[in-house]
Amino acid sequence: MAVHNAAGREIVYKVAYHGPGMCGKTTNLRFIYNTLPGRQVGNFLVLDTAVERTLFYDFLPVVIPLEDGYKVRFHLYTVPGQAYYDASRKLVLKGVDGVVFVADSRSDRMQENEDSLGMLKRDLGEVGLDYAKVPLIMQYNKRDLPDPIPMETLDEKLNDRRVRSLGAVARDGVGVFETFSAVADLVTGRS
Amino acid sequence: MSTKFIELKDADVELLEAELRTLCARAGAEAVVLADLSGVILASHRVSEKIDGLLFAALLSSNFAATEELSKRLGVTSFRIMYHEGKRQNLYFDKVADDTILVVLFRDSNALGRVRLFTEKSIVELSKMVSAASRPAEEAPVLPQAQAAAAYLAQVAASIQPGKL
Repeated sequence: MAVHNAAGREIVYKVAYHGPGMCGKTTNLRFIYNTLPGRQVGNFLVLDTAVERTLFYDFLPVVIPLEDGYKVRFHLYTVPGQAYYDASRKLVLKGVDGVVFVADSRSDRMQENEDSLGMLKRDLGEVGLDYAKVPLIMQYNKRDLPDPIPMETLDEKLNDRRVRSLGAVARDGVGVFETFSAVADLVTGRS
Repeated sequence: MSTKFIELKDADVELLEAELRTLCARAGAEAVVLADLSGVILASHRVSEKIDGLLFAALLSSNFAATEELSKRLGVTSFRIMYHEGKRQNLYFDKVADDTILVVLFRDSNALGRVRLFTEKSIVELSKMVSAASRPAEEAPVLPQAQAAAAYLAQVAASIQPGKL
């Protein structure tokens, strides 16, 4: 849930990056962490397994200090992509203000994308949120790999709400900040 | 939209902090944190600079949410309280409202019963305060500061050109 602490001159939003395993959710956050100046990012918390798969979630607090002394914080979380981490996903989605759905553009990953989107819809419902109303951005990642699924096909199969969709190569930072900016616009009501 | 929006004005924060201060003194606690289940600290008392408050709240809230999920799967009504016993310091969690938890950090020289008693008393007051500050997300006002931050991020996105597709 969004929190406006007028006394502490602080506004906080929670954004979750959702998508199938190995689609690049953590890579998005890592690029943001490595790019923004140190005063704008807090500690990057990664709770992963020995093989570097997200077990619980990743958490990256980003703070934008404004001239009038206000601080606007975006708490960025990733959910574990693997289907069997259902409970972990739900706890990350609890109270979320906006969602980035990261889809994998590789040609053999469409089923995983569709399954993950199905899980997002179901899990949002279970934490009292409506998929049809949650601020949502679609990111189609790994556009640099050979023979990616066309953006139009991904839109057709996944983007049933016809929300804004962006291509990305998160590993190189392409599309990462455009996506972050797009979801920030939605949660703050700027667009 | 998310389910709720919390707006804390100066007077709200003063009341919350006064209640946490009182709890800290009565319970003999080292620190207390009031956080929502999405990992945002609403108020705290004596959280030292050594603790990264943001990470602390994120971990605490997910810990609590994980336990709630466990209770659902076991068919138990709710695990409202959680207790972590350390070698020298302990953590006591209690639910304030549906989306809010209170965490008390205390030393092992202090009695759990004392912490529990005064925490329960404080929760009655804190619950009223949090409810008064909460409203449906649909009623959240447009905040120009938030939009300014979003505009800043748009500028960052435009200035960072790692490559085009």
